Amino acid sequence: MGNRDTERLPTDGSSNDRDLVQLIECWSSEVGQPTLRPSWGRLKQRLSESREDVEQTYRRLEVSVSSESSLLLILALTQPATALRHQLLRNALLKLIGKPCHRVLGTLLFLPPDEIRENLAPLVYSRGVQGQRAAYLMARLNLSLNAEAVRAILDLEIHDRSFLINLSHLVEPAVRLSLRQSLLQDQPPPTGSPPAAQIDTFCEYLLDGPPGDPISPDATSTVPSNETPGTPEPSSGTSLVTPEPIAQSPGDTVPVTQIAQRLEKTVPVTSSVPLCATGSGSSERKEAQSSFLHGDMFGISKRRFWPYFIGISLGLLILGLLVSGSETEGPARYQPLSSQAPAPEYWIDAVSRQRVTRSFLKADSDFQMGEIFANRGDFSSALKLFQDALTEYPAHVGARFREGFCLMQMQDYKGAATSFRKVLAHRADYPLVNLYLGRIALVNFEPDKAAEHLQKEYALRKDLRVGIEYSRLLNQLGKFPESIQILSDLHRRFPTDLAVSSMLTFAQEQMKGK
Amino acid sequence: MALSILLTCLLPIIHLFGSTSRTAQKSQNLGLAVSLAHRIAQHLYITPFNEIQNISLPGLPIADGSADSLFNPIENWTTSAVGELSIQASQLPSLYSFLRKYEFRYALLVNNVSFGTGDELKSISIIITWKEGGQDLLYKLQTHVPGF
Repeated sequence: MGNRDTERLPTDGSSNDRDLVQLIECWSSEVGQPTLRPSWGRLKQRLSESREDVEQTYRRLEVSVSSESSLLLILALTQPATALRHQLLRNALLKLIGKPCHRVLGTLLFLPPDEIRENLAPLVYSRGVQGQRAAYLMARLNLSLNAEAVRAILDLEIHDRSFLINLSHLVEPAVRLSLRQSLLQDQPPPTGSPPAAQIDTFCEYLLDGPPGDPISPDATSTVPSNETPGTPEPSSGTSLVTPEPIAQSPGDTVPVTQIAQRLEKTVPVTSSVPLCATGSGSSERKEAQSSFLHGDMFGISKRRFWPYFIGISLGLLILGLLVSGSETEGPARYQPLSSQAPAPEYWIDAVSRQRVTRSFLKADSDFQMGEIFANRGDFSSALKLFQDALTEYPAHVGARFREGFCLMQMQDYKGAATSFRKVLAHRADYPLVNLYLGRIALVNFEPDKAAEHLQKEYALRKDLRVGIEYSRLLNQLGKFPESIQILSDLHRRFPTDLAVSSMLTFAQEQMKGK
Repeated sequence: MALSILLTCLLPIIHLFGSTSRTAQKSQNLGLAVSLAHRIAQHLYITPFNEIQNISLPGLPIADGSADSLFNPIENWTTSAVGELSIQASQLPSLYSFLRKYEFRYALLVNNVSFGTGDELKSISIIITWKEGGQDLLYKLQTHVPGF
């Protein structure tokens, strides 16, 4: 399975490392419990063979593997409930919190919930977007916080609506009512102030249940779990409730910003925060892990998914059958077609997709008759028919070209050159026009001009006959290197052509003699 | 079950909206037009020279057309005239429906070319027109029928 991060493999690293990284990515791409995946045994064996320090191994490999693989790597390298695993997980989560994509979320589900909770919960206390992302991740992972932690977070600062929704997801249903009552019974901030509005909003969410899915910190609406949330931009379009400054009158409580600063000092992110999580939502986690579909796939609940799916599928099927049926079967009875029906203004040529008008068809009839006369060598009759065609439809390029050809055959070189130039004005790549213009230039003793036309014609199609004629002219002009170049190209393409071989030999001898 | 439902739904949808089906449909009509034009051309070679007449645009409808010895009757699997089948709704309903739906017509633009006594030919443009996808489409085949 291709992975974007494997491109970062060190080119100068040992092949052992490269194999190990590929094995890790392979293991990461497999499905199921990490320790039950097919590559687990091989990976464990390879890692156990390494006599290197675990942390050193991790540091060396983490730069070459993807985000979700780095999480699994921690799982493979370290023992549960050790300080090293705690430290590595904390650092990995700090990195991953900025890109909570679906695969990372899926990987986090496989890690022990206690460890995830222990490392993720302190980050919810972080101010700004990091805290929002941590709350979002916790909500998505069905982790929960206790009432004290929620209250502390609410007091920390003014949060936006998405954060409050995510926070309401973190409250276990059993304690929602009691938390709401305790929040409302606490000494309320002044009515109408932002903290009061925040607590009221949060209490509404607690009363009615969380409104829908967790909201990504960078989105103003819920993000279905099967979509990959993009990397959030800090506070850009995230806030539905714009924080307002708190009035600082002597009777007011301490401004929220100061509370937040104080709390941040007492509860540093990296320190061991009093464990605020009270549950892991293990039943939901097990359900999500064992299920073929994620619990809230497509933004609707799993229970509603199948009725939606079957309904939409049947609807599409019926629509498809109806439309397919209407494509192949006409009405029961057609009105007879009239042979006197008016002709359309134009048709579309089904082969060339060009517009075809009646005047073009009439001109084309003259052109076809002119071709018959021209093939028989009756150029004057042919010329008249071509000119009739051009009178009817001046843009008929074929008739214009054949007009020039007939004039050239009748030795009216000036008229022929005029016709050929008109052809080139319509279509610069029309075949043979430059060849005939070159021949006319030769008749008019203009060899350089002739060479120019022949060079253009040869460049268009690399035609053998044009190439030979062009080379012959170059030989006559003494331009042997150019001639040899063209003849060599022709000789490579047509090795059995005697004319090319003999001309090439001649040009090479002339070149040596010169 | 999910896979079977998906396949049951997706196949007609893909067929309906996919580019492959549209391409096939387009080439089916163009291919029919080409074959019709060549059938007319072959028929013209055995038609008496003087009986080849101009049929101006928009041309004659192939379905429900008049008795023209080209398409009406179009086949006869019996040894008598009783078994002749024309492209009529009552006789060949499927072919009739298809040709009538796309309004297939044919026209002949005939030009006499004479090089002298006894040396003449007809330059004939066989034009098949039909309607498809809201467009009037055309296929043209040029042929020459000598007078001897």
